[in-house]
Amino acid sequence: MSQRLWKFLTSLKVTVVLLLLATLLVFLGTLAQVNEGLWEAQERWFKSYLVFRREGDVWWVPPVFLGGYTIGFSMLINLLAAHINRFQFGWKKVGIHLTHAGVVLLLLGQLVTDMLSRESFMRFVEGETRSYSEAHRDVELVAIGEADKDGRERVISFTGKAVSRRQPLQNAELPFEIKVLEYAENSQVLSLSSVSEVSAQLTTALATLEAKYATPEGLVPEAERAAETEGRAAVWLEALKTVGESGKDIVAAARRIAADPAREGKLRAELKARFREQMLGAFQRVPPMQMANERMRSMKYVGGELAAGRTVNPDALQPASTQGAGQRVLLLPLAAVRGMDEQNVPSAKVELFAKGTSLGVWAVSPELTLQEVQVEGRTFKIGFRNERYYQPFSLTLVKTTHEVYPGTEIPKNFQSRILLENKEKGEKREVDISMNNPMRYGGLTFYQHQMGRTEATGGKGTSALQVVRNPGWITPYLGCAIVSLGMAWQFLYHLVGFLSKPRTPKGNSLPAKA
Amino acid sequence: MKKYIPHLIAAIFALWVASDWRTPNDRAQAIPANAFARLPVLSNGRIQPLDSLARNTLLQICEKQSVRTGPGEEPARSLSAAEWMLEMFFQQELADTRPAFRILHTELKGLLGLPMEADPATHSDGKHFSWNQIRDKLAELRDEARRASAVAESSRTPFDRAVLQLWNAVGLYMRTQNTVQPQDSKNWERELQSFVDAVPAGREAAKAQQAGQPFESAPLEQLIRQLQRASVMKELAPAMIIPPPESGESKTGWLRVDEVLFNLARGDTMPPALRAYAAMGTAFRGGDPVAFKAAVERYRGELGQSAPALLAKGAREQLFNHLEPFYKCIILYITAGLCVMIFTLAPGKLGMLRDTARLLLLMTLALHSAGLIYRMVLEGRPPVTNLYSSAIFIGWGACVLGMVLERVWKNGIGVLVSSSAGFLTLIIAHNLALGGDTMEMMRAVLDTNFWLATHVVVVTLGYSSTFVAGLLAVLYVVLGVFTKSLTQDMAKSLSKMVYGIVCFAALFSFIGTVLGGIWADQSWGRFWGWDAKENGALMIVLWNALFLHARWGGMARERGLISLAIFGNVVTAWSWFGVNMLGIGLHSYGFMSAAFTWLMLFVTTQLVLIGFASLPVRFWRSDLR
Repeated sequence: MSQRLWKFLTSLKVTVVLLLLATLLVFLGTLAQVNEGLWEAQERWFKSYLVFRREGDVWWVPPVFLGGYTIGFSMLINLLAAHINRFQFGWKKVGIHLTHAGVVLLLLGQLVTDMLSRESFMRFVEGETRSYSEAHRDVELVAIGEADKDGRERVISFTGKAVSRRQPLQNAELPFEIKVLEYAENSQVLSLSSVSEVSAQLTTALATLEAKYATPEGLVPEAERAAETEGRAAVWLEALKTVGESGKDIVAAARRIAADPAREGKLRAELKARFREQMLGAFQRVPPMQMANERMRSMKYVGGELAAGRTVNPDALQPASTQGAGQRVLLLPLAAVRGMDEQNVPSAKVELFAKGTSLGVWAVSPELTLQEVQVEGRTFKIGFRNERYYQPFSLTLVKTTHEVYPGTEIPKNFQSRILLENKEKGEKREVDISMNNPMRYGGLTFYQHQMGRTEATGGKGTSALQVVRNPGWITPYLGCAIVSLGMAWQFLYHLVGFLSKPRTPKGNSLPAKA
Repeated sequence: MKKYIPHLIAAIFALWVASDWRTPNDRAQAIPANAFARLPVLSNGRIQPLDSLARNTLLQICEKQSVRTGPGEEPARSLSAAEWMLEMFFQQELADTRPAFRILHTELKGLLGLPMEADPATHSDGKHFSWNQIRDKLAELRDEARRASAVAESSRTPFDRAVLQLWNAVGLYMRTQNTVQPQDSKNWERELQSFVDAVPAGREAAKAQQAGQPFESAPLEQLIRQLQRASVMKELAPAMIIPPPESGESKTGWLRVDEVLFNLARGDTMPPALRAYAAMGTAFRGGDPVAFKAAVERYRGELGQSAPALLAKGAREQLFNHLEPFYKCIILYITAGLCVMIFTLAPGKLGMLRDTARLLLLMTLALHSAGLIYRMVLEGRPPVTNLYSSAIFIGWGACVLGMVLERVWKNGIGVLVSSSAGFLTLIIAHNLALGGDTMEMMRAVLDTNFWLATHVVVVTLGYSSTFVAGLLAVLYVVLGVFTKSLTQDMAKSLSKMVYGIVCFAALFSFIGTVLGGIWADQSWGRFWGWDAKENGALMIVLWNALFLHARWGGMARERGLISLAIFGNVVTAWSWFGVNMLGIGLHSYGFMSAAFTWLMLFVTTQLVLIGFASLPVRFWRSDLR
């Protein structure tokens, strides 16, 4: 039995099948990116053991497929087993051995990277100094105590994962316990004032609309006004069709119908419904570029609520919390997003307890600032923010350079000049980081990621560095070198043999196995 | 005597190529369009001769590098891109009669009220139309373009795409007409002079107006009128044609004409370049070749003093455009391919044809290499910088591999592979060039000659060799199933060739892919990110590895391996083009629907060939039993 298993593990057939499966997996995992986005597709297809078909999948997704880890580990086992089994030294085999050793190294390196690497970002405006980087997606709930006499603050943090589990959060240094009441992976924060303002406006506008068509006398003047603008005229034409008028002249048609009690009621109802729908539609259509604008988001929200048949009463809006900044905002859960450029805004409602007594409910989200909590005469600032990784050194953004090719928008060069300061080691020097020229320091690599210029900071340049900690970064370099060497060896070895053989083969024998 | 016939044929073709290898001259007594087209301008972020600008503009509008004269000019003749550019710059109302817009979609023709059929009476071919023919319907076109641009790229109909393409062409056309002068100017030199003359008085008047004192309104109005025209030009953002006064060889400091007009209004002096272009305009409209030539020469003389390298660059690139090496290569590849195809079908008798093909191919390879190197020198870049140059390079690599195979086996197969690979890839390149400038600037992240020279070149050679293996396999099937010329020996050598090439392909695609990972590690901080293009390259590596292991394990015999190699074509085509069409990832070039149809067609043919390969040998016309 074990012999048969061993034979199976070392079999070349298994290798070929695995290669076939790997090719298929890579193909499917690439296609999946179109619908699932890069990040989600990566997690689901490549960083998994099994891929199951689920609701809402495109037609080609198979009921079940082997994930990247399964195929990768199987390849590793197959490779190692085959080598243990067949290893023999000889010049002819050196190339094969090297190639496979390199592939093993690459596979292992990728595994190490998957498990241990961490990506974060460091964003600053020219002149600012940072000694920490921030996670892209992961958030943390922090409670920051008062600064000591050196200006250093104690930061107690709980990971977003812990918060999402809704378990009570405690720490010996905190005089209170945190109970998570609600958690949303994605949400939006709208200020109460903005929502009530928008909803008042919309209500007024709808009331005006209602008044315009309240009586049959209103029809003719409204038709005259509508005839002047193309969009309104189009709505009229559509509405007129429902009462059997198909002519182009809407004013004449309006006159006819105003005098016809059998039809005017229906026309007014049609017009009201259509203009109302149009108005609500206009409220909800916010171009993605404008989504940063709170008023626009409020319009979208209010428009959507009314269109869905709900009402938004400015006086009865429920603030997100009883304490802190949440008293002035609405916290609305949204469906989580998975796209490359989309980002979730997690939020939570937490209730704080000191010695069993509730201190009130706070709303936390990266969109809200840190909020003060007074407990037993001590002040803490609490809030949700992107997870931070502190370093024993600091970087200051000295200058940003952003060049484009003349007369075009094509970027030519992004470059950040950084002052690196490590007090413990007495280091202080300036470094340039640009595309393709990262800085490696302290086990981290800093890459030029984004660059911009903000109006808010008086036209100062801003820069975002990607900070990567990857203990396995060297493996692909070594793996590549070893495989290249092995393949080149094998290739040259064969080429020499190949060129020195007779050119037209005689006989029926198959070419010798390599 | 007979044995020199191949040499003679090759010599004739060589002469044909060499005859174009000279700076294009102008006819005496005519407007010197070529001398004009050598002048350097800055467009698309790079300094190029007007000749390149003209050709690329015309390619995008017309899909050709020349335009027919419209009705009214008898006999009808063909205008070169440079001649067309002259009219576009200086005599817009004449250019407006040239059928420069290529419009094929019948619904679009219907929208614009254009004739559907060719009409010899008006010289209309039913495909090319002039500005004057479409101008009345521009509002309709604009509305359609707005609607179509709101549609997601992948769900646009052919009509939507035709509309957007034409709308883009219209923008390009207007931009070109406003490069040197406002398009409605009838005597730019005089208008420009009177503008300059009006500047001091106009500035005085403007100051007085601001101070609330009485002022003379005429010069101020003239100034404002011209600047309004300049604002229109600015909106269109045409090419920068005015070099910086000092050290004109730098790429910064170039100006568009509208910018110069604003500077003039501020009291700056007139740059000689603008004066020269205005003088050229007067001479062109007046049909005065002598004055035109004098203006060009004077400007060249001034440039020669401040920036001689620019003039040299302009001339070099114009020569390259004129030579059209890759176009000539297409013709040579076809000729060589035909010769060797006839030879393959009857190898015994026509050995001469193989020699002819081999010599022609050697020459073609030399020309292909020369073109490649010339481009590299012009750009100052390694060979592959975009999809267009990847096609050129894949063809080149395949051709070299084919010639190596021919040297080893001497049976015509290598020549057949070289010529068909060269032909196909250059046709692809030709179509890719319709998108515009093929020497565009590299974005910051790609701007590293080291990685372009290593990763990109190696991975492209990987594509190249996988295609060659696939092509050999296709030959095996086609010759075996449809002809009687696939002998046992030939089958054996073909499958050996496939094996050898796949080894080569595995080596190159692997190293290329890993180098790409290292580049990504250098610039983005991750070795492997499962990006679509990375995955495509990985699939080639995996497939080649699969082929090799299947062979070593004895799991597939000759015809099985041949099928695997044919499928390698599908994998490679997917990686080269397919992933770009998904519209995802870092290497995305947008959805190319036309190319998508071709890709599907290609995949289908390959699958059909695999089907033929699996037919039992008794159905094959060649005897392999």
